Amino acid sequence: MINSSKNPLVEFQGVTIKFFENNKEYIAVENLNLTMEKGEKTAVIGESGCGKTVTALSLMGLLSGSAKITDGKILFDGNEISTLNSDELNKLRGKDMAMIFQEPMTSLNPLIKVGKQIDENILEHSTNKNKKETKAKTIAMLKEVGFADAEKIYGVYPHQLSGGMRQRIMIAMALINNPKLIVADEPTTALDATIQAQIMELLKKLNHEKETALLLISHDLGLVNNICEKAYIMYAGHIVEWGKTKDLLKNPMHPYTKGLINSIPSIENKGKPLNSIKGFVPSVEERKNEGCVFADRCDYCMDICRKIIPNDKITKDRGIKCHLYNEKDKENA
Amino acid sequence: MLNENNPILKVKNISKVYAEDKNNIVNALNDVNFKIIKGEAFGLVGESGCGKSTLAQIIMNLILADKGEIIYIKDGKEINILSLKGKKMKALRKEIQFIFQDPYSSINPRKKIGWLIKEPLIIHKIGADDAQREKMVDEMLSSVGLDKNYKNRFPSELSGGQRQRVAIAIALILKPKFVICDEAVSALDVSVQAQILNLLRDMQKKMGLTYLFISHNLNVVSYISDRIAVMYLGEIVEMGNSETIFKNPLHPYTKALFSASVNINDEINPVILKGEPPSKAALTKGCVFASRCRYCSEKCLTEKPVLKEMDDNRKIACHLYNEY
Amino acid sequence: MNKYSKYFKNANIIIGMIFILIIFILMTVGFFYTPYEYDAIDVDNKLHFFSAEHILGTDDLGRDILSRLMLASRVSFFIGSTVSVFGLLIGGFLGSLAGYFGGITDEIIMKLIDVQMAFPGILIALMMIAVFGGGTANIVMALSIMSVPKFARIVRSGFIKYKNFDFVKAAKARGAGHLRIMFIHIFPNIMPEIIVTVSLSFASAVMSEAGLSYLGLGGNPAFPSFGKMLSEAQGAIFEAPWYVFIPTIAVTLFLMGFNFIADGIRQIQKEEKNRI
Repeated sequence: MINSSKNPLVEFQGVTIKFFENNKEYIAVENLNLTMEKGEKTAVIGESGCGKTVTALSLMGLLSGSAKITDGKILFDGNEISTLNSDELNKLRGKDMAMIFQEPMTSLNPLIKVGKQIDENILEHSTNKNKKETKAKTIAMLKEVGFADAEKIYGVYPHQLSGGMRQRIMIAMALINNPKLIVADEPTTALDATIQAQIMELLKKLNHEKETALLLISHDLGLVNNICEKAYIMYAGHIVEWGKTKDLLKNPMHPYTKGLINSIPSIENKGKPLNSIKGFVPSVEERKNEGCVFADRCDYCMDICRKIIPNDKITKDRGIKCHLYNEKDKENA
Repeated sequence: MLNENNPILKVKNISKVYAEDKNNIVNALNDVNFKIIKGEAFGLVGESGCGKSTLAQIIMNLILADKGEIIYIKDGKEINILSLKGKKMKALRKEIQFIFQDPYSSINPRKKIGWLIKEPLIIHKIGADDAQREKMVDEMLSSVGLDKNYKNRFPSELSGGQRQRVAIAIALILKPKFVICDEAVSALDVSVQAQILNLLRDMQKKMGLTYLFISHNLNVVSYISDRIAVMYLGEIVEMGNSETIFKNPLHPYTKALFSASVNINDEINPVILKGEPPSKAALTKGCVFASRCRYCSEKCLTEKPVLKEMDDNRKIACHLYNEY
Repeated sequence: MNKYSKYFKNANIIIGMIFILIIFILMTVGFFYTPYEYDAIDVDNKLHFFSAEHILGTDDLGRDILSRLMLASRVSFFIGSTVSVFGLLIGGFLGSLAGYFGGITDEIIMKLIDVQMAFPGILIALMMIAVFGGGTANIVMALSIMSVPKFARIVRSGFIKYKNFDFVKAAKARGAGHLRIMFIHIFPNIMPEIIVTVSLSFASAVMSEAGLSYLGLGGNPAFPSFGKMLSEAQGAIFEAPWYVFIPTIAVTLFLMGFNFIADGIRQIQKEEKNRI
């Protein structure tokens, strides 16, 4: 494992999350293992519906009513998330861990000035109720996320800001209490490329200065490559491969990771057909409980893949869930 | 091979201004000019609000331009699309088709797939009888990679990628010459996006199509397009062969945009632009990019740079390169 | 699988259908057979309780209540359906023009509708009856005019919503004409909302008719209707309280039936939306 320590900041131990709807259960995430060290930038990469957002929400204790953790443990800084009651969770959220959502328009209250919304976050978790000090702290934070005219921005309403500026406000709000972890769920997907570059640069800078760990949820391999040291590739509720980002993208091993990388169009492969993955991502209802989740779309599918769920094969800094690389599974079959 | 002198579409001096009131003028398009050559894929790149979708809808004659002409060349004859009405426009619609971004909103959810693909044939009274039309629908379905039995399904039963295949089938059933793809793969997942790009490329070869490919995703545009034009706030700032521009962008905006488009193979050092595009740009006197440009000089604020041809077949609108 | 089968699996819709079916069967049977003539007066047997001869008893003139109920439901069904159809045709037409074309057309149509909505509906009905006299035809006309705004608004908002959808733009780009876009592309998409409005307007027409004829403003005085029966029963409320209940229950079945159906359709709509 990479820099494995006794006390990681975040640890998912064999977590399974299921949806219960109309008396049926669907598996959203299955047997998920993930660790993050303090100050580390880690990404969870996957296509829509692979369970990456559910993973982020489960860490924040924000799963909706119909989703439940049925197996495994999620540890944050030594606390087991699922055993905490809502008061204890509220103490943790916004203080030690904070979340940035994809859509900055809907995650800010449209009727409250943005400065006041940040103040609110300070007051919620502090015994010092001095308004002046709070405001000063907010304005300092606004400056830090790149607003030169922070005093003016303090008094504006969200609709007066552009998408990129709103996302900066969200980052200021998330960072105001110096959290140990920021979970960012597709934070730049709704933004333009040049604005995305600005926001990512900001996140990188703040991570460096404040040693805040970042869990980035994204579908964009290029973006992750630019930001995160470690990446987990997720497909249909399973982590199929993880490792150091650079290494993972240069030398992918799992057929899904390979397919994903080959699917990216670029000027280099112009004129040639893209090696896309056949078929399409199965919906939660269509997933099979037998064998490897990727079997139907895999070019290397073997008999065993349809029968047995592959185990993690873990080497020094790479984990793969695939029968191609797991001699033991083959022997057992 | 592509021949510069064999254009299929000419966009001439197109301008469009949206005005909320006298003080709030939004300049959607300002004097846009380019040619699209028969058989090529022409990429139009830009960020949201740069006017690329407005331009597409003007070409389709769905919204009106304030100024300018869209010339479509049919059998050597030049036709100004914007002056066409009624039956003549309807006849031309057979030649020019449109594929939208969102496969969830661009297909009528209450109709079956078979009906949807057949509808253009009915509108334009193509095919002798219903049996013949059904046969054409079957052939189209199989060439976009869908099974015949999809005809009796509703769009809600299909995934995003399958819906986009249906949208492509609807657009291509009339055997058009020219297809506008407005962010046609942007809403799709990477693995599905690759399938659809392959399909679009195959269909281009098979049917001899010309594409106007509009996207904000540079990887996609550079993959599919022969030539590209980069737009910023309603103006074209750089235009040329996609290889030339991709490997060596010159305009400061193009540089920033291309460096921000992250690629997994390279070490990236993105050029970070200051600020954001002004949301309500009044008709500016100077260069549209001046407010964010690091090379901005006095001249950029007062004088508008014109698109000037460089020696490597590219055109650029920037005072940095217009000196000589 | 049939697209519509889910509508027949919804509990609300099933209950609503059963309620309406009860009245519907009463009415249909009434066309071919009634136990007695609805106006057969039998003063010796007035205000009888339920019995084998008179299943639902008799009224203050000794007329058979079941027979009268069968005929009264005919009036309610007739008024409910004609009012809904008129409302839908006129309101739907105005609403689709206003929503699809927008601009000045929209302004004019919506101003007219606003003016009409400023008057309380029942007041318009009373006015029309005062001017043109009572009678079923006038009641239908008055209630139809009352129901136009509801339909116009629903259809207009549906058209405004869908005319900006990409599939409508796409149809235009393919060369489809206005009528094709309006009625083949947009209309099916707002059908569920229209069905909800139809069933609610059916219910409210039945209710209004009962109210008007209770006040003695209904159609042919000899012909029974729920409202008239109620007002007749009122006079005998102490001698024959059950008589009051019979038309009340009939009206209630009607109202609840249609409301249940409307709720069921909304429920299914919501589920469908959530899935996308």
